[in-house]
This record gives sequence, structure tokens and C-alpha cells, in this order.
Amino acid sequence: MLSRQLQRNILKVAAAPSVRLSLAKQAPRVVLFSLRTFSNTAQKQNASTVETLTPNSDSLGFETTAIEKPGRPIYLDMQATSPMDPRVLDAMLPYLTDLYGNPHSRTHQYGWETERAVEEAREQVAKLIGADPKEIIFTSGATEANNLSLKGVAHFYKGKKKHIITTQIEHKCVLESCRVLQEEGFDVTYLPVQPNGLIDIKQFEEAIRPDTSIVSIMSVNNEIGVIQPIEEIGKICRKNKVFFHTDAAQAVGKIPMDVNAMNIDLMSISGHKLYGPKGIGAIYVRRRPRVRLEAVQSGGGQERGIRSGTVPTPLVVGLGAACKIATEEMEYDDQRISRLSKRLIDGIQSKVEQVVRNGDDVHTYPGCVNLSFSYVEGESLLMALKEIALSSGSACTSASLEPSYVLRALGADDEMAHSSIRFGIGRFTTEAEIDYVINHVVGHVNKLRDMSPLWEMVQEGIDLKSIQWSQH
Amino acid sequence: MASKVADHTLEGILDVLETIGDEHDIAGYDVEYSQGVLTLKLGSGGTYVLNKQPPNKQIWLSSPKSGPKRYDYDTASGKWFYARDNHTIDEVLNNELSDILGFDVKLLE
Repeated sequence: MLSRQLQRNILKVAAAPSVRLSLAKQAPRVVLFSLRTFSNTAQKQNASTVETLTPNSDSLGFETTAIEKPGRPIYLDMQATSPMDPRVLDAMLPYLTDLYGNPHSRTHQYGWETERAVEEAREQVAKLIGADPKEIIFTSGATEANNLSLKGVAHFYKGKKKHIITTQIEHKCVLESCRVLQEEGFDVTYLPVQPNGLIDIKQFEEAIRPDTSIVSIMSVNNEIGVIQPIEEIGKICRKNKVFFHTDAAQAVGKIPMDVNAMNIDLMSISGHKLYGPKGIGAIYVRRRPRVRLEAVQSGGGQERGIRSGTVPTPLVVGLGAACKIATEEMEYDDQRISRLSKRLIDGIQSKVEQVVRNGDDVHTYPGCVNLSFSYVEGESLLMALKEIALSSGSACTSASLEPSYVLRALGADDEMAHSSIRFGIGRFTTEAEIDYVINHVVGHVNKLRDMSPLWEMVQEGIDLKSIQWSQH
Repeated sequence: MASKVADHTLEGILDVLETIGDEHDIAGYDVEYSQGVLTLKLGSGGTYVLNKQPPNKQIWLSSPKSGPKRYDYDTASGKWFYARDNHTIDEVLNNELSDILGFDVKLLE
């Protein structure tokens, strides 16, 4: 690892064209990146300041000293996005500097070399899910892949098939696509889930109609981490000749996915959930038996006419590298993350009472732990845990004040839905970080509960449901 | 107009070829149709390329067995024929593909 000063100097000089040429020839990993430290700019942003706020008359006598510690918060929001693996960056760098050709240029070396890289990445993605490279189409992310799957298939078969099945806990983009299709005249069944987050297989089978064209059920939920019975669903879909689409953005690279064993016809993949770059994803479209789609994005016919537009070589190479690393390290990561997850849950539940885990205990991805702390408000706990980057519910609904629709679908009442925190554990999470989180969460939960009048009442044995709250 | 007919013909051929691919397991089989070019790979049987030629209002065929041919459209019969000996595109493709694949192939009615 080079010294900080040397790194800084190199970053300054690296932009010069003559240097870029020679840099591209060397192994970039030696020059530019030491594992998980930050550039000069990021350091400046975290310069420590000490600020004391003097209380005014209505602050109840509290004096606050805001000491900003140097360094960045511990990142435990892996379901929102994941840090890019340095090895992925290494793979991408040549295509961000020297190898800048358009992969669709057929007439010169710049095009040929980038086309080769794109095809290699395609193979890496296909290998991870057990598919054929011809079945992988690159998109701008899982949202585009979801839109393409649902709208593409629905529109193609709209003559004879007008029914779509999905669940109530799907990602927003799937639910929105279904809503748009509903407005166009399709029938959509939103399957409810059981309190543990899993769908009822019998109910699902009964929901299938002769005119059902596609079923869309996500493999791993982004808020509670629950893993749906994909193999069983796939079998039923194949038996009824219905296309099975799964949003596997949170699943690919984390749990083993095999499109043939699981009878999956369409799958959405997201790059930035598996330590790859943001802005890239892929859709898997089965060829045998063939799935026909109407393209949503028209243009020059790239990607087999399903998704026109220049394929972004650096991002695609990054996705390929991320998939390759995932294929090799999935088992190791899984064991490590399971261990850390157990440590976190046991650590918190042993020291604090009335903590509920949302989602099934067994059929959940260990890296996604969603806990509800009774009588503690989720947002206030998040604010208190300033040094830890967490989320309550999903990133795409964090702007609104509504409690998460996923938790609502589980049957959790509003108070529990408001008090939920999602811990995301990933490849780069350490044991020390987990211990720190346990201590701080326990500490702050106890502090908040001490302040809570509801907690006091519960301790005294009062049944909160029997209270008649006065209206304003 | 002729372009539309050509499109229709190629799409029809594509449908049949895709069904063949789905129903039979042929090594190295791949059919792709984009930008008006239909490419059929038959593994050891070679590669067929069919494409529209809008300026001449023709369909051009490249066959690994019989080489290049150009077909014009006859509105009366609704068929594409080769000007030199008047055989139709269906005949040559049906014959050659049935030969290579070992079963009867009917690409167009």
C-alpha cells in the first residue's frame, strides 16, 4: 500500500494522457486503491469539529455538545446499495481510460476489444445464474429489467392473456408497472403474504387462471429479507404454462440461483446490490421454451432488439467481474454473513426485550435483519444512531412518512411498522462493527424507552389497546 | 410496400425456425433476427443468412450449400422467386434444411 501523500500525488498526475497510457499498462490495483480507504476529498469532508449549542429557554435545560468524530459512519444498509469491490474497480479501469471504443463499432480494433469484453462479462453473468450467455440482456438496472419483463410480456401476449399475478410485498417498480398495466386494461392479482412474509403456495396456485400470462414474485425481499419458495413456484408455473418472472436483485450473488432448476423464465439482476457499479443491471430471458417480449426501448436493435442503446462497456465489465467474484465467494460470504447476522440478533435480543424480527426465521437471507423495537420510534432511533448508516424500511419509500407497505402486508400494526430498523450485513462488514452496533443499539433503545411514557405504562401492566386517547 | 412483404416473409420464416429450435435439440442451433437480417446457425451444417435488400426490393440468401441467391417478389403468386431459373425461396430452403436436419421442414405455406 502506498502512502497517503503518494496516492494523492498519483491521483493528481494520473489525469495526464501520457501517464494514463503507461498506467493502463500497469496493474491499476497497485497504483490507485488501498482497500477501503478514501480519497483526499472524502477525508476533508469528515474533518472533526466541535460545536456546543447553548440551550434556549424551551430546551428543558439540555445542553448539547455536537462532537463530530472523524471518519464515516459504519455502513449497514447493504440492501440500499453495496460498496464496490476493489477488484471490480480494477476490472473496470482499463475501460474507463484506454479501451473506450463502442462495442457496436464493427470496423476497428476499439470496437472489437470492447465487444470482446462485453461478451466475456455476459458469460460471467450467465454462469452465476446457470443460464446461457445468449439469454442475458444488459439494462440500466433491475428497475428497467422489471419494467421490461412485465410490460414486455404483458403487451406481447395481450391478445389472449390478460391476467398477471404478483405479491403485495414486491418492489415499488413492479407494483407501479402492474398498476400501469391495470390502467391499460389488464387484471392484476396482488397475492397477500402470511405474517412470516412468505406467500401461501395453495393460494397462489388457485389464483392462476387460463388467461394468466406472467407471474412476478421476488426471490429475496429488500425490506425483510424473506426468501420465497422459488422452486415450488417455478414448478407450478411451468405446469400451468405461465411465465415466471422473479426480481432477483437482492438474491443474485448471495443465495444460489439456478434458472433451470427453479424453472425461472425471466429474472432481474441489479449491479449495485452485488458489489458492482451503479447504473447497470441485466435481464435474463429464457430461450427454451422461448419467452417473447415487446421491447420498451426502441432504437438500433442492440441486445437482440430487446434493449436498444450503446452497451456501457465499463459498467458491464464491472457487473461481470462482480458476478465472477460472487460465483467464487458466495459460500464463504454466506457463512461469514450468517455468523455475523446471528451475532447481531442474539446480541440485541439477549440484552433488550420485546424486539421482534420481521420475516420468517428460517427462510430469510441472513444479511437482511429487520427488527422492530416495541415502544421506540424507528426514526428517532435512527437519528440517535448517528455513527451507523441504517434504514427503516426501504430507501425508495424513505421520503414519505408512511410506514412501509411491506410491514403492513405482514400484518404488523402501525406502531410496530414505525419502529422497525433494517440492518444490512455484507461482504465488508466486520465483527467489530457488529459489536459496536449491538452496544449502541442496546444503549439507545434503553435510553429511548426510559423516556417513553408508553413503556412506563406497559411496565406497570397497563394494556395500551384499552386506552381511549383523546382527540385534538 | 415490398419492404413490408419482405418483413412478413422473414418473420414467418423466423417463427418456424424458432419452433424447430424449441422442439428439436440440435447442436449449435441458433436463430437470430435483428435489423432485417435473419441468421440461422446449424452448428456443423453451416450458417444461413437471409436479409432484406430494400433498394432492389429483394430478399438475399446466403446458403452454405448452394451459395448466394437473390429473390424477387411476384405479387401474383405471392412467392419469392429466383429470376434465373424461377425456383422459389421456399423450395430451396425446405429442401436444404430438410436435408441437413434430417426431418421435413416447411418454412412457408
